[in-house]
Amino acid sequence: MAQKKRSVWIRRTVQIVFFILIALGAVNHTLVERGIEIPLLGSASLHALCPFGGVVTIWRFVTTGRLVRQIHESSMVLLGLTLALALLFGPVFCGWVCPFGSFQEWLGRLGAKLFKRRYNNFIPKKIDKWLGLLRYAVLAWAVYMTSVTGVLVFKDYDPYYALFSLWTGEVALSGYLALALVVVLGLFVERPFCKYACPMGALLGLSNVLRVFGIKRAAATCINCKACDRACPMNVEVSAAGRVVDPRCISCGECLSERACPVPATVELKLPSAQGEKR
Amino acid sequence: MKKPSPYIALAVLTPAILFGGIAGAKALGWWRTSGAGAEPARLDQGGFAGSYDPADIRGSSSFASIEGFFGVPAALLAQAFGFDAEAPGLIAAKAVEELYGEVRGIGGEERDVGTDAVKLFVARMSGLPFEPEGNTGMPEEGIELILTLGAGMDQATRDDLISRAVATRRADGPVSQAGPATQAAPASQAAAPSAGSAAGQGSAAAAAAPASAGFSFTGRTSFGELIAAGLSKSQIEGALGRAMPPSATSVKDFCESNGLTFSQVKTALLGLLGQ
Repeated sequence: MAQKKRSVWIRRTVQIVFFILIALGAVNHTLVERGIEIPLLGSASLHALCPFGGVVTIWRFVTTGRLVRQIHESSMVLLGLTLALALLFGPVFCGWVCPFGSFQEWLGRLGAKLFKRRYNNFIPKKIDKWLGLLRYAVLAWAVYMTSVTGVLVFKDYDPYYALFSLWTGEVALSGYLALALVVVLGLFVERPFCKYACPMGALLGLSNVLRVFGIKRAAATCINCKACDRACPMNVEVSAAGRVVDPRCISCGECLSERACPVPATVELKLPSAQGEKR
Repeated sequence: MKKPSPYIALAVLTPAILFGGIAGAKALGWWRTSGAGAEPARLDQGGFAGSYDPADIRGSSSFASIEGFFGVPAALLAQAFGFDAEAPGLIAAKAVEELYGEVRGIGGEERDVGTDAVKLFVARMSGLPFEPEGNTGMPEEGIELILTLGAGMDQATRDDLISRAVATRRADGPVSQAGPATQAAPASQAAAPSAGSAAGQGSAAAAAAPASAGFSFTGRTSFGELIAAGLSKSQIEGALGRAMPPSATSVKDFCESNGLTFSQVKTALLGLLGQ
């Protein structure tokens, strides 16, 4: 049990490190424009440090060899690395790295305190699943519109950009509204933006079908306590799967036997077995 | 031996792959987080096919890189928009938006003076085609410079330009810079450009002395910024011992890819700048 308690801090530490890095980078970017610079920190813009910039610029890059304005080569590099990670371990970028996912998760701790077990269970499962498809519409819209206009259209509605640009005066009203909506919803639903609107999460979620190391539940030792289901921030029904291929899984690992599952070696991150694997 | 926990492996491998990948990309020169020195797109139609397209000037483009690609001196750009920086080459185009933004034009209309105004100035100085946005404004001083030193234009274009006039403002505080930090100097110390510094002629350094004061040489400094700070191409080539690459190239990147020691080259160049 003590080991499980300690493991809480493993992912949290990684999340905090990335959150601080991005927050300091965003502040430094503003400071550099004002003629001040925090030493040793890069001064890259938020766009330069987000792999989604790589997604929306792909069409323009393939057809013209150029990137969409405000997007730089670093976004393409990050996209490549994020996809490589996703092919190996699934959307770990969402579960371990994305500072906006972490922000929502920390906000959710307040919601969990307020609503106890009702937290993250307000929306019926069926509706929740359908709402999850919205993010694919957002992905298609953002990629199409950016390709057609050559402008980062999603920026004006992006709560992640709004959060880390609050002090710049460059955020559109729609961005502030999106952030406010996420903050309010985040008190009722865990990671609402990730679940229903994040286009990057939509893309990375597809890797759950292809990933090399999958999350697997051993039916033989499972006691059907549903601790894994309750631990999942994305409402994935781990207890009903042999191997988790649900595109909503963010590979946070909260369901694993190292974390929520009370039975050792029952929910694990493993290579696919040769045969007889239930999907 | 105890099998390592996959959960711990995720915690170690995820940052390791990301940071390792970034380090690798940096080593290969693929990690660019700014478009400050990026080459603009080229026009692909008409008589100007092959020339750089003013429409592709970015907010992060420094006046030095604009000078490098379009031949419009950085000092002239600075004067047109009311900046009197000690190193005009370091000013980023988006600083214009910070200084003006949305203002009332002399004709009474709402005008937006920002990066699009920089594109317009460059286009009218160089004679390259460019269609500005309807509400783009231009400081009076910029219009005067275009009419005096610009590439010439038909009456309709001239009338359109004049109709976009806004009162010239003066930068009296820090401005956005594409390169390392320096402060814009008070406008009262303005160094007027000579007629010889018109588009395609002269250099920013000639018009903005002492350009090197306050210049900060970092790993991101480009050759264009050195020229804007007052060095000549031949001085730079003397310090390098070889031909200077395109002005947007960072000195550090050039040293690393040519087997030169950055710190030695930096010392030599700073010596030439009197620092």
